Amino acid sequence: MKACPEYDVRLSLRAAGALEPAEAAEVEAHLAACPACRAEADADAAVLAAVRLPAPTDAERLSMSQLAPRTVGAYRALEGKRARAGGRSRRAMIGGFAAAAAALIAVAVSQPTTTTTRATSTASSTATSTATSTATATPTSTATPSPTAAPAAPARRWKTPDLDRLWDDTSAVALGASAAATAYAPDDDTADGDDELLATDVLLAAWDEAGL
Amino acid sequence: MDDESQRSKPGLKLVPRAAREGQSDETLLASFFQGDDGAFGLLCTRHEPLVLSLVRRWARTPDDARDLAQRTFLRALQAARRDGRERRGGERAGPLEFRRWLVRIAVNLGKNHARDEARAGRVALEALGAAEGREPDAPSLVLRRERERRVRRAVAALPPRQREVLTLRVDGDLPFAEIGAALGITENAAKVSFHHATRALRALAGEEDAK
Repeated sequence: MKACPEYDVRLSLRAAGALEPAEAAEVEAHLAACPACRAEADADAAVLAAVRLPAPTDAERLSMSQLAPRTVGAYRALEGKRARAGGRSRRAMIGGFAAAAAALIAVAVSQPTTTTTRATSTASSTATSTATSTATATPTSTATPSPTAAPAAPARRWKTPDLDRLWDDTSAVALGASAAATAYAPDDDTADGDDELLATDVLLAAWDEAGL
Repeated sequence: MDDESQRSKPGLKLVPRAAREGQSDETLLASFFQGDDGAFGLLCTRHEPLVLSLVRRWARTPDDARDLAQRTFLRALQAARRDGRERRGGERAGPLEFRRWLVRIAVNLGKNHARDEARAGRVALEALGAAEGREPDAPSLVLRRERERRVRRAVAALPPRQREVLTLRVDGDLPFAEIGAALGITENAAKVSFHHATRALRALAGEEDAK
């Protein structure tokens, strides 16, 4: 026997105890007069009763008593790890940018002369050291441009991101240390141009120059 | 315990537990993020029954259930922290946000477990309760248990949306409006899914044949 189509859904809801009082009264009145719907209602109730899990046991309750301290411990541990990783990542980003900027400057300085090849190799080596996260500010000091050098055009003005948001912003690219330099660039005191450039552009330009 | 943990953190304001019990989830979360572990204890007490009821279907042991509950809370905390940052200075999270996250996360963990269970070809937790040393069952009870096992196996085999709605209602005892909100569907769609789930279960578990 089939239930009356207009009561079909409501019979399931009745078995779940989810009918509004007025609706429930209407369904009960119908059930009193319709054996087919009564059979359906009984079958729905039986299957839902079988779905229900037994009440939690003492062992479960005991196990759950440790939930809060364990969760707090896990959360604090994760946050600590994250903070450490964030610090490392920022240092790597700063170092990465410094290396990229140094490479660019080195290339810019060398272009008017005949030492392009050597400058290119310098760029390669600084880029490599970026990947190992060991090149903090060192490359900058080893590749300081001479006062007569042409200005490093792309290294004009940098956007300083909000450090609090940096990890979230860059989590997708921070896995590769060299790519980290695409997201961060410190203020450049020598900036005098009007155009704003992203560190990405600088790094790509450096890579192009270095033939990577 | 809460008071002790607060005392150990200089600079934190002591708030009696009784006074905090009336605080919103949002206030408690903010206190927790400022280092007050006791605030999370209260949040946990508040939502643990719901979370446990939602995850235990997919657990095989009591510790398994606790681990799933812990993962649910942990992910909800991370979501709340991220959300708090994004909303900094903007509008505040609604009072139901944390609970909604818990429900969504528990549903997703359940989904993964249901998939893993199906792949492994076994049924999750044949009743954490049923496995604990009971008296030998009478034959009629054995038959009933067998039927319950069949139906619970069928729950794992339901289409995802039907399974989610069914377990949120049966295990979590949530109103359909809240189920709809948690799953991103209308209340009516949730009710219809529930109806389909009930009928599908009857078919899957051989109810039609038994009649």
